[in-house]
Amino acid sequence: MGLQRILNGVIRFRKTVRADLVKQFEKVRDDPHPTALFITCMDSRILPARFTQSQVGDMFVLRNSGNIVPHAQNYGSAGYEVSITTEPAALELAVKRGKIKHVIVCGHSDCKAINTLYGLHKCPKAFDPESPMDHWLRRHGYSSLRKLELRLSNPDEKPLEYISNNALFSFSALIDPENALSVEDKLSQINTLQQLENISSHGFLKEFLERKEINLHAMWFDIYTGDMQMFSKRSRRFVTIDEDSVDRLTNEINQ
Amino acid sequence: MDRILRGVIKYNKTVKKDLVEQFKRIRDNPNPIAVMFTCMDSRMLPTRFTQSAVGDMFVVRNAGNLVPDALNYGESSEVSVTTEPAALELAVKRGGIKHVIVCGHADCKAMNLLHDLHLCPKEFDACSPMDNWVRNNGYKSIQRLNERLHSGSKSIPFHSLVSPSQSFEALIDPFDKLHIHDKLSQINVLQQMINITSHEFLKEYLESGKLFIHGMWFDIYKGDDYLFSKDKKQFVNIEESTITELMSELERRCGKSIMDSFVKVEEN
Repeated sequence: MGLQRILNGVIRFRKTVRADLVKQFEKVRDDPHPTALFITCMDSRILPARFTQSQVGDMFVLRNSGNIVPHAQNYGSAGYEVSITTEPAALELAVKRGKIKHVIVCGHSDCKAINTLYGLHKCPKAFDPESPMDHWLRRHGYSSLRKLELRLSNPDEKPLEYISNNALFSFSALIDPENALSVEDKLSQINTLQQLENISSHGFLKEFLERKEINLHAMWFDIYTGDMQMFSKRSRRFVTIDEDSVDRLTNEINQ
Repeated sequence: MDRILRGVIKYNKTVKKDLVEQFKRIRDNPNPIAVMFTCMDSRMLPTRFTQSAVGDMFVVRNAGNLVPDALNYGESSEVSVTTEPAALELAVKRGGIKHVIVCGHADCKAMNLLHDLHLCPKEFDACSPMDNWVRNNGYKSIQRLNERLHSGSKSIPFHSLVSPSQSFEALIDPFDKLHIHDKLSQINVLQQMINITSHEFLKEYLESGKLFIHGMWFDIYKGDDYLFSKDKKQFVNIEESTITELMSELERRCGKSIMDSFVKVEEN
């Protein structure tokens, strides 16, 4: 194996896909119109362009460990607990300069970052100060863990509340009411929705959000079934995108 | 957004079944090769350009394919907790990958911005996350660019302080064919390779030959993929006429059997 496999892949690309791709590049190079910023996980099983059948120039794609966007209170250049991370920069690039209209956060099942986050929650003593992963997750996974605890301790199946300064962007969510998912996958769905709250916390996006110039969406990929799910604010839950649901979901977005 | 939903329906009808089969196979036998750090640009489709299969590569994408240097990273004051070192830890320690690839590209907006800020520092906007991200993590690439502009056709050094074995020299665009932004973009790829070596937790892997760092650069207009050759000290276009030599260098440096990968190609 090794890098040779990747080089061979490039040769295959040259023989097959490349001519077509260069034509597509020609079309977008001087006048690209990406429609969305897709924020997802670095997991090797995630293939954003394949799952959405998107083409060159369609979407900006941001990928990190756990599809996390730091909340504004954890972001900045001054002080102890804040950091300059790429995610707000990516949002600025895509929204202000790229003029995209949709931000999609897409989580997935069996996410290693989420599994680690849950592990740290169960055994806080396992936290390793030398581990960048542990730091990243602990700092940015806190709200998701709180909501998980609410969900697990909830006998009445009351929905979780995601609050934004702008009421337009607040919503409720019923996570896995059938209890079909593992606790880590519940956390993954909760965490995906948490990023919408985090995104809307950033001051530089305030105007765009208020004027509805951008919309925030959550998706979730089930690696076991290959199903792509979308969060419906109306139904307050993740809905599998298929022939039966697509019209309803499209209507909801266009309202 | 309609297009994305329709895309998912199309995916359901065509690709999904095959993908689920592949997911099952790799669950029992995960064998990722690499983690690739590349740009969020909408024209970049890393898995399509390398025709990689499900499970082959972890992919981290950010603005400008930047990897913060360890001096900019950590838990004490003045430093940051960012995702890139976490991603390296996940891929190397837990994922078991042996190769880290940094892949830049032509006409990179982040590089254009980095260069503009260098030319007009007064334009720097302290409230702009993009300006901050790019300047904090790109200033070393600017330093290398200045070295290149003064050195002309001579090579410039890229030094790793933490892992000196990872240092190398590079001839950037020796015939001055590239726009200055693209020169910067190529230099930036190489600088990120050095930034990666600054993370202490990777040192042992690097020094014992368990981990290798590579640079790639994609020319989106021509559809050409370049690999940085430490032997030639240059980015080399990966094509029929260059692949044998590139493979030899990889075999020598990374110690993997070339026969393995040719067998894989036959199977595909």
